[in-house]
Parts: sequence; structure tokens; C-alpha cells
Amino acid sequence: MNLDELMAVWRTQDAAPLHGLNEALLRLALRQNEAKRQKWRRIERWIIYVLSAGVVAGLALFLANMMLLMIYRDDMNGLTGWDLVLPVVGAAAALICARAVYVGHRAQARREQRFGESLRDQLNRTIAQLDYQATTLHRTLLLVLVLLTGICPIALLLALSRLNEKPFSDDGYMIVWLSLMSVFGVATGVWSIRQQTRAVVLPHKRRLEALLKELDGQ
Amino acid sequence: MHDTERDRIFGEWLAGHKGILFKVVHAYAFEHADRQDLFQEITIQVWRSVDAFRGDSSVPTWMYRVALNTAIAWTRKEGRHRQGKQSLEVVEGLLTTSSSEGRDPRVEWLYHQIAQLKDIDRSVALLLLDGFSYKEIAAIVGLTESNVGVKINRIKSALAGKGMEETKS
Repeated sequence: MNLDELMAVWRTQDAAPLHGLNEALLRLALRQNEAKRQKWRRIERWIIYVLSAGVVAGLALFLANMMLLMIYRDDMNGLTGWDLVLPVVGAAAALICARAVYVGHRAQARREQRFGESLRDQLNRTIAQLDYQATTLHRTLLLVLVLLTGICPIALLLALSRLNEKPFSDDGYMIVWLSLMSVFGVATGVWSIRQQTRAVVLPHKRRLEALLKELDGQ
Repeated sequence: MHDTERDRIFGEWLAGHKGILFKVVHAYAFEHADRQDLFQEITIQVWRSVDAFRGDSSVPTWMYRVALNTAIAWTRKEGRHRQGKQSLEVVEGLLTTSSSEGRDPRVEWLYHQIAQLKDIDRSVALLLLDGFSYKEIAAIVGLTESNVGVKINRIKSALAGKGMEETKS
């Protein structure tokens, strides 16, 4: 058969389609899918709001606690600027991280918008998304995790050592334990991110790269 | 865009060109359940794409583009689904199998031959059989026209060659 004959065979589907379609059910499925997507977006937004509020409240609580302890001990005159350095640095680091995540996200969105609508562009766009997921996003999240889990126990340890005038009181040991738990948490996070990257992101990326090669293959 | 307006446009697209979606589904999924799943996935993407449609291309070209992009990405998910790693919420009964009355029996044979092609070549074959020009195929797939020409020659000889052999036998 030549191409014209093949096309003639192909066109017979237009008069007698291969499938029938339940349009009412399709519209219902689309609405349900959209409702689910909107719901997840709302949940994601709320998680970000709650986490941000939690970080700010935690820092405020920490500062208030320090002040109250100083007042209780009638030690306000002993409070120097150095006592506030760590919480302030921690807050600044948290804000810088949040800003870095936001800027990175915007830059990635702009990068993705530069691709067109062809199949090749779609493949390149998805590869760029996977690269971002595998590298930039993971690194930034890891940095945030390290900062948040690292700075708080250190700040508490320093504050308590100053109040007790000895670095390793009972409270100090509790904070060392807390720090070790934080390190364990970070290590588990890193492991889980790497596992996810190896199991999901990299195979997907390899498949898309193979498709790109197939596209270029003669 | 308001949902009602989007629904209206989507309804018009579907009424006029749902055959495109059936063809892509039939070329990239081979079991009934997989076809339901892929069809659902493609219609979701087409419905979402209504906002992005600026009229730079025709509606059939746009629908082919969205459907092929989705089908190419879907095969990975389907593989994961087979391995039991991902649960799917497929709405059953979206697609029904039509009677073959009025359809050339060689259509199924043609789909079988298309299924033997690589993923990208399959896309090119569908567009070719639906009468898209080299230029349009190049724009949809993201190749130069000369590369499309090379691919099409290979696809033609694969399809037509097999057609000749099987007609003789």
C-alpha cells in the first residue's frame, strides 16, 4: 500500500470512530479532578502559612523567654548585644533562605516559560523541572532544614550556659540530646531526598533524555 | 477565564475533534483500562490548556500537540502503574468501544504497525496519516523540516513495506 492508500484507510475512522464517549461522566471527572487540584493548592498554601507563622512565633517565643529569664534572675543589666546575636542571625538566615527559595522558584518559572509548545520543548521543560527538583530545590530545602534544626539548639545551649554559668548543666545535656536528634532528622531527610531522586527523578529524566535522542536520531 | 466559558470552549473542541484524542489514545495505550486512563489524562490536559490557547495554530493542531505531549509523558506513569508503584483513580466507563460498522478493517492492522514504531516516530506517523504538512509536523514535534522528511521516509517504508508484504501473503 502506498501512503495515499494508508491515509484513505486511516480516514475511515472519522466516519466511524473507534470509541464512544460518555460526555456527562467526562465532565464530572474533570470537575472532580479540578476540585481536588484546588484543594491540594489550598492545603499547600496553608502549610506554608502555618510553617512561616510557626518559625516567626518560635523565634519570638525564644526571645521573650530569654528576656523573662533575665528579668526573673534580675540580670537585665548583664544582657549584652552578644546575647541577641544568635537569634538575630538565625532569624536573618531563615529570612534569607525563604527569599532564596522564592527567588529560585521564580527564576525556574521564568526558565520554563522560555520553552515553546512543541514536543521537544515539552521534553526540555520537563527535564529542566526534574533538574531543578533534583538539585536546586533539594539543596535549598536541605539548607533550610540544617539552619532551622541547627541554630535553635545552639542558641538555647548558649543561652542556658550563660544563665547557669556552666556550659553543661542538666538542661545543657538535654539540649545536646535535642541537637543529636536534629542531626539524625537532617540525615534522615537527606537520605530520603536522595532515595526519592534515585528512584523517581533520575529514571524519569533518563527516559526523557532518551526520547530527546530519539527525536534527534535519523 | 471563567469555568463556564472554559467548559463551553472545551465542549466545542471535543464535539469537533474528539477523534484526534481517540487516535492518540489508541496508538499509545493497548489495554482497555490503560486507554481509559490515558484518555482521562489527555482530556484533563486539554481542558487545562484552553486558557493557554491563543489561536496561533488551529484547534486540531493544538489538540494534537497537547494529546501527544501527554501520551509521551504518560507511558512512564503507565509503567509505574504496572509495577504497582502508583495508584490510579480512573473513572470507568468514559470510553466505550464502538461498532466497527463502516470502518475499514485495516485500521486495526494500521494501529498494530504504528505500535511497532518508537514513541516519537509514532507521533510523526499519526500526524502524517492525518494529513499534516511537513512544516506543521516539524512545529508540533520540534524538529527541522528536513529531519521530519527523513523520519517520514523511514515510517513510510516501514508501513507501506509491511502493507505490501501482508497484502501479498
